[in-house]
Amino acid sequence: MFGQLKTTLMPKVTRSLLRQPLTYELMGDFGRYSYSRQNKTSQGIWLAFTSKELKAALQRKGLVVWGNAFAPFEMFYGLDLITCHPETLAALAAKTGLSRNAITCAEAGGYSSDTCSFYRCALGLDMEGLIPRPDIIVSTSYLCDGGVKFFHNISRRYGCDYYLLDVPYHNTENARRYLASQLEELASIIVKKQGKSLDLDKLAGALRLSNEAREYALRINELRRAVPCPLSGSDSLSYVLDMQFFGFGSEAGVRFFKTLYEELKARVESGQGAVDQEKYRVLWLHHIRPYYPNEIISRLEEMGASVCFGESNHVYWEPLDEANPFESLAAKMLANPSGGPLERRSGLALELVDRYNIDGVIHFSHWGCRQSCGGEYVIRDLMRERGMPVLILNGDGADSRNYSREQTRLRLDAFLEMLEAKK
Amino acid sequence: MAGKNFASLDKIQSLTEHNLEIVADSRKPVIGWFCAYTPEEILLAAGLCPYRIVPEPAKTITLADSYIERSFCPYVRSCLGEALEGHYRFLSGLVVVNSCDPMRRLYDAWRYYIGGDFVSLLDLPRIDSKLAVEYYRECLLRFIGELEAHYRVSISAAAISEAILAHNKTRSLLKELYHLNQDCGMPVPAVQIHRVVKASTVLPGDTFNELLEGLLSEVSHAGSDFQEGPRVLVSGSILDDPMIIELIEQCGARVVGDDLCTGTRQFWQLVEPDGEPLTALSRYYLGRTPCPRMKDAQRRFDHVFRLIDDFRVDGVVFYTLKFCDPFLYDIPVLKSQLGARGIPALILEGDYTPGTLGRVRTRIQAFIEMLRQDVRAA
Repeated sequence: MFGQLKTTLMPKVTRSLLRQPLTYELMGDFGRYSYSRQNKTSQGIWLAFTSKELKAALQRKGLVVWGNAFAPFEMFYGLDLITCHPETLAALAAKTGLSRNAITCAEAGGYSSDTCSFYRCALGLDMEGLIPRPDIIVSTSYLCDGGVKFFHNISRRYGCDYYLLDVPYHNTENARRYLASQLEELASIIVKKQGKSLDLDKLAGALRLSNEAREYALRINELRRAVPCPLSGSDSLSYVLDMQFFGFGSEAGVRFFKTLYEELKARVESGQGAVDQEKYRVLWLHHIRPYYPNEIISRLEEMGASVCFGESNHVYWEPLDEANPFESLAAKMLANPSGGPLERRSGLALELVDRYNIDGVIHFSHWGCRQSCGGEYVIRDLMRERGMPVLILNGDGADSRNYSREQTRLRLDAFLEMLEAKK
Repeated sequence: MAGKNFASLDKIQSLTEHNLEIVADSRKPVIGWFCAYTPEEILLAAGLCPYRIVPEPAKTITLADSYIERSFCPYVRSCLGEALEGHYRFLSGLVVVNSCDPMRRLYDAWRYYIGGDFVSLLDLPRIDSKLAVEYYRECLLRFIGELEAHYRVSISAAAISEAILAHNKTRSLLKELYHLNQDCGMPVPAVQIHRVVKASTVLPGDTFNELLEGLLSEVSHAGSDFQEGPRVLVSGSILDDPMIIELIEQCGARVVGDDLCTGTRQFWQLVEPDGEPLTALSRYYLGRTPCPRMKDAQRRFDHVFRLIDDFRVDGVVFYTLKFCDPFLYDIPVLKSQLGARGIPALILEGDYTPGTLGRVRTRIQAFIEMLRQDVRAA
């Protein structure tokens, strides 16, 4: 009886709760309280921020924009939009066990299991009515083809505007001009929809907040060079990364990075690390890690390996120029090391190996991710030329059906043995 | 379908088989390309011999496994496999268009594992706004600069205009072939039509145009022994080995049209004559019937519906390369639009090898049987 209730009623109740603004209000308050008790105030700020945006989107307190991880969120905050990021929601669904059903839903709707599971999951969540509907969708044409198509298909479903920011391949003067013009055009479309005129001071304010957060992010990255590394890979590749994608330009973003900096500084000063006895320092390549319950990072940490840096945490852009918002946002987007030729990304990876005193590199090979995994073998070979052990870890970020605990453990253990042999 | 014998068709087929010798005879530097968005006009204007890389299916795909992830475009993996085997040493250069993730990564892997004196990546916007046309024109100028510097040539506006005319002629002739074949009761089997389109990308333009004109004349005088059957349109990405078309026809349907990178999308529109050739090229490539990588997918869907009307299509077979994200995301949307118009669709995937075809025969047979019943009911 109880089993039946659990399998039939609970999912319905959960889904119903996830459509209520009050749920997110409580989630934010509870998260802030609970994390602060665990001395993880920064994580509480992240949860409160994410919950607040979801609550506002459900309440339709303004225009709701859906954006991808590389969209100019500074501009969205500067234009008073309520933001929604389906990639985050897919990761959260994976963490909370909601992704399986969502993915099945998307596949039943004709989406191939060969596509990225984050987008399949987000499609399914949307089909189930679990994401606040968008008024406008903005995505960048990079980093991947799948993202462009996902956002476009969602816009068709709602019949809402879809603005694709076409990010050029080469980082040239012409490219910057082209992208800046698109950003300016987008801003004018948005303010027209809002019935307002463009408030450049407000936009400059968002850029200022972004710059403030950037300063703390740089200091955090400096602290992560410490031995032992003060921040766990499971944190840096989840909520920290989420704030890096979606928090810049918001006040919560500044609060988050400042608080995290203070937390990590205290840990470094007291010699506390993510791993008590840090034996190996690992660099994580790929923007994501698996978010459903898994043992990857915990196994590494158990064996004394600290994922002390991830390429996605790198601050690759110069401070934004408040007087030239569109040009400087364009410059930021074009500076992304994962755009353009692979040398940009591989060059950064090699630089990070030195900067973080790395013993081994794990390139997570997320099923369905062409843009990143298409270059992993070149990066592996470049690393090997330098004598750096590399593990290409095949897996899936959001679809737990593609995770095998035993196989993964076997591969991680073999990698750790390699690191041990090199010591 | 065996089809009739056409001397021009045999000649095209034989020249395609010996295309490397013909290309060598041209005594021009040969420049390889992959994507249908490559502006061949500029290569021609530079005095180069453009040559589309068409790897032999199934031969070398596994060679690439140590160099590029397996869940990756099988066309790209086959190209890389053949290049690793040294098949493309005759190329003096290579141009890769920034059309999709696999192409970008092929550009990286090629430079790292194979190398070459001239390997260039040409950017390609995904939108066709005025801003994008201007930006793409600047990309073309940059590409021209690279070609001029490397090959020590000067690429004049007049030469580009001339190349546009020559290429437009190829496009017009190919489109005429589709229509004429249709009007004459399809004397040229669909498989042969696809071989002709393929020949247009690996043979020098003037040689090809001359042969195609000959073929058109032969077709216009040919009688037809066309066997009626459900009329199918094939929609997908790259289809270099038309075995799937042969299979569909063996199962009793007629492939009357296509929406393929290596089919109508390559030539259905012409470059509009314009005072300034680079602007004309820029408008053409961004504005033509798009590959799903472009933002405006609906223009492609509309192209499919126009073909359905023009060629009285009964059903659509999606046949796309595995792991091709832009197509995979379009399929549910296009399938639903087809459904709204009462057009049945079958979804198949290929891995650029003929090996998997046997497994889909039953599904094709069942689909065609269903179309037959629909046709009868109508």
